[in-house]
Formats: sequence, C-alpha cells, structure tokens
Amino acid sequence: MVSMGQSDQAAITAILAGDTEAYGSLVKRHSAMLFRMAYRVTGNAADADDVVQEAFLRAYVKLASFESRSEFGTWVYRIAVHCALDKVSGRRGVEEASRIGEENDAEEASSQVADEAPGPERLALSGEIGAMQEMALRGLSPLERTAFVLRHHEEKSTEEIAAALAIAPNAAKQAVFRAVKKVRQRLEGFRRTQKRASRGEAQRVTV
Amino acid sequence: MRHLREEELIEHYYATRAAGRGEDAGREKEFRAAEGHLQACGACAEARAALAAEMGEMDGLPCAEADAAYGTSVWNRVASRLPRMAAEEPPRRRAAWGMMLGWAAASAVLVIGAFEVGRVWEHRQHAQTAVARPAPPVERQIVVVVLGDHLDRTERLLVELKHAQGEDPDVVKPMRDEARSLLAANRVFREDADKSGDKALIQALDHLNQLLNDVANAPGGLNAASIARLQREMEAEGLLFKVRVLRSRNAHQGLTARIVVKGGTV
Repeated sequence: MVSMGQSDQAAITAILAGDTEAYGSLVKRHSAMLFRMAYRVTGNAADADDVVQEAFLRAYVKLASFESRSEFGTWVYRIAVHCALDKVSGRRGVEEASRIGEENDAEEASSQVADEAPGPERLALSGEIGAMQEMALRGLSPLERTAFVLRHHEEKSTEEIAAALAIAPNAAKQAVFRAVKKVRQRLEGFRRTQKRASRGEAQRVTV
Repeated sequence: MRHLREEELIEHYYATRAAGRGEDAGREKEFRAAEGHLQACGACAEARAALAAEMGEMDGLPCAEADAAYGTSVWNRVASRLPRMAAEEPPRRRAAWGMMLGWAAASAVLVIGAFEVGRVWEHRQHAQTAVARPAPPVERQIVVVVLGDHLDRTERLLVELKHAQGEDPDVVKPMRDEARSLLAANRVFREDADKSGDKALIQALDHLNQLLNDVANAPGGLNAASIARLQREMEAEGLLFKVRVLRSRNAHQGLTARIVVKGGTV
C-alpha cells in the first residue's frame, strides 16, 4: 500500500505490480488541479467532475504506457484536457441540435424565452460579471475555448497547450488568437448594450 | 514604420503576463522588438493597453474550488470502475506485451534482412546475365503503431479540421502532414479489421481512409472550399462521433499494436 507521502513514481510502480489501492494516492493528489481546469473549460461543476473521473479512468488504462521521464501530474492533466474538450464538443453538438429543433418551431421557441439563460442586455444590466464572462466564452468553438482557458486562466505556454491538445504549436497559437478576438468582440457587444441601457435608464429618470 | 498586428499584440500581452509571473516570456527577440515598437508608437501602445484592459475583464472567471475531501470522493467513485486489466496481472501483461513487441521487432528485422539478402542476390544474378540496373535506395522506417494512439491522433485531426477556417498555411500544412502520417497506419488497421470481420470498425476506417486521403492529397492543396466540403462530409458521416466510439471501445478492449514499415506491414 502506498501512502500519500510517497512519490508518484513509487505509486505507479506499486500499481503496475498489482496494488490497485496505490492509484488512490495519485487520484487524491491530482484531483483538485484537474477539477479546476475542467471547471474552467466546461463551465460547470457536474461536467468538470465527469471529466476528472474519466481522466483518471483513461490514465489507469494507459498507465503501462506512461513514460516515467515525464511527470504523472503533467500526463494526467493532458488526458484531462482531452476529456474536457470531448465534453464541451459533445455538449455543443447537443446544444446545436436542440437549437435547430427550436428554430423549426417558432411558437415553441418564443414560449421558451423565459427559461433561457439571460441575454446580453439582462447580463449587462444586472452586472453579472461572471455570467458575462461565461457568455463571452460560449461564443468560442470547443477547441478555441479550451485553448483560451489553458492560455489565459491556466497560464500555459503555447507549447504546453499544443502538447495537451495534441496539435501543432502554430495551430494552438491560432486557436488562442481566434479565441481572444472573439472574446473581445463579445465584450465590446456587452459594453455597447450596457451603454444603451444606461442611456435609456437616464432618459426615463429625466422624464 | 509597421504597426503591430493584433496577433503580435496578443503574443506580447501573454508574454508580459508570463514575465510578470517570473516565467520565461519566450521568443525573446520578438518580445524585445515589440517592446521597442510599443515605446515608440502611441497608436500601438494604446491598442495594447486596450487589449490588456479588455482581457483583464476575463481574469476573474469564477471557478468552483474543490475542497480537501474532493480527492477522496473522486477515488471512491473511480475505484469501483477501474478495469481489472492492470490490477490483476500487470507485470505478466507487461512482460507479454514486451515479448510480443520483441517478437514483432525480431520478425521485422528477419523479414527486412531476408528482403535485403534476396535483393542483393537478385542484383548479383542480374549483373551476371544482363546489364545491371541501379537499385533504388531503400529507406525503410519501422514504426510501432498502437490503435488507441492512432485513434487519439485521428480524433485530434478531425477536431482541427472541424474548426478550421480559411486557408491559413500555419493551420493547413500541419493538418496535411498529420493526415499523411496517419494514412499508412490507417490502412494497416483497415486490413486487420477485414480479418476480424468487425463491420463498424471496417466502415469507420474506410471513411477515415477516404477523408485522410482527401486532406493529405487534395489537388491544388487545401483551400476554404475544400475544407468546407470535407467538413460537410465529416459531419454527414458522423465521423468524429464514430472515432470517439471506437476509441472508447478500444480503451476497454485493450491495445492493438501493429508494426508499420513504410506503408506496408510486418
């Protein structure tokens, strides 16, 4: 049995020798780091939790192919990035499919307005900064969102992002560029809406 | 004086953040050049400041923090789902895997050796009986390909293709190179699938082969129109989904490995 104090390498050696429980020490040690990244990429705790579990399951299956030259934490982090990307890619497919369904039924669409997430105007008025940021990120493709979160929030270098997403460094850089441009456009849109809303409010007060 | 492009401003912004954390900003030369320009050019300095202010708004993205018990909770849920594979007989499995690869590698060496001996012998025979023709140089690269990794890489390529826009050479060229590199292994796994009679795998690998071929060898190169067409084909076939299903299935069924020799198999 491997205790929490033992190194990742010792735990891996124990697991490969048949001590399944030793994997617990790795899971406990690295879960929080994976959860933080997964939460930022997926935008909610339930999906982030799924990503963390899936990452550790995949890592366990592939553990025999893990090269001890690298750090286990870095390795499992990359696996989790893949899982998070899968999760947002799958979710986007479902969201797009449901949007198409809604577009086909205008009446149903209008009746659902009250249940939908707040629009930019409501967000701007209510000053829900966190929700505004989330809306800005929702305009990104899954790859762009993941690359942006890794660059901006997880503070990874272009090379680290490329390695985590298994794409060329130039492709990673381009994904970040596209993401930043889109985020700026969305934020600009929010600001314009906010200004319009403030002007409208001021006019109502004057009248 | 050339103004900094938005991409350069973004690069500089993140390099500055990295430097602020005491990390290597990377690309020292470009960073210094951008710094110099920003000091001399008011318009770019203003654009850079606007970028920093806007991106600063994204800094405080709320993030649920995992509490101290989270790791234990994850372990409790993961432990019951761990496949038996590694837990039961990992050393023997690894040894068997190593032995299998060893045998495969040895077989490869033998086949290539026999081929070389045969070629030399044939060459000598020809030299004695006819005008000798110079043999083309034979460069054989032996690569061990694991199906799981092949599907991983293929999925990444499909995701990139799915989100590719325009015909930026920085995006298109790596995609073509990757497609070329995946083609040989895909053909080998297609042959394997034929023998196993796995219809789902055969169908998916056939579609993949066609798509990889189109990406790798599109006449006139990849452009916005051909990328859009490939995206439509990929979407119509549900190829990304199929690859994900296969990858997940493969993860549970264990690894399949093949040795690929320059487009052929050993």
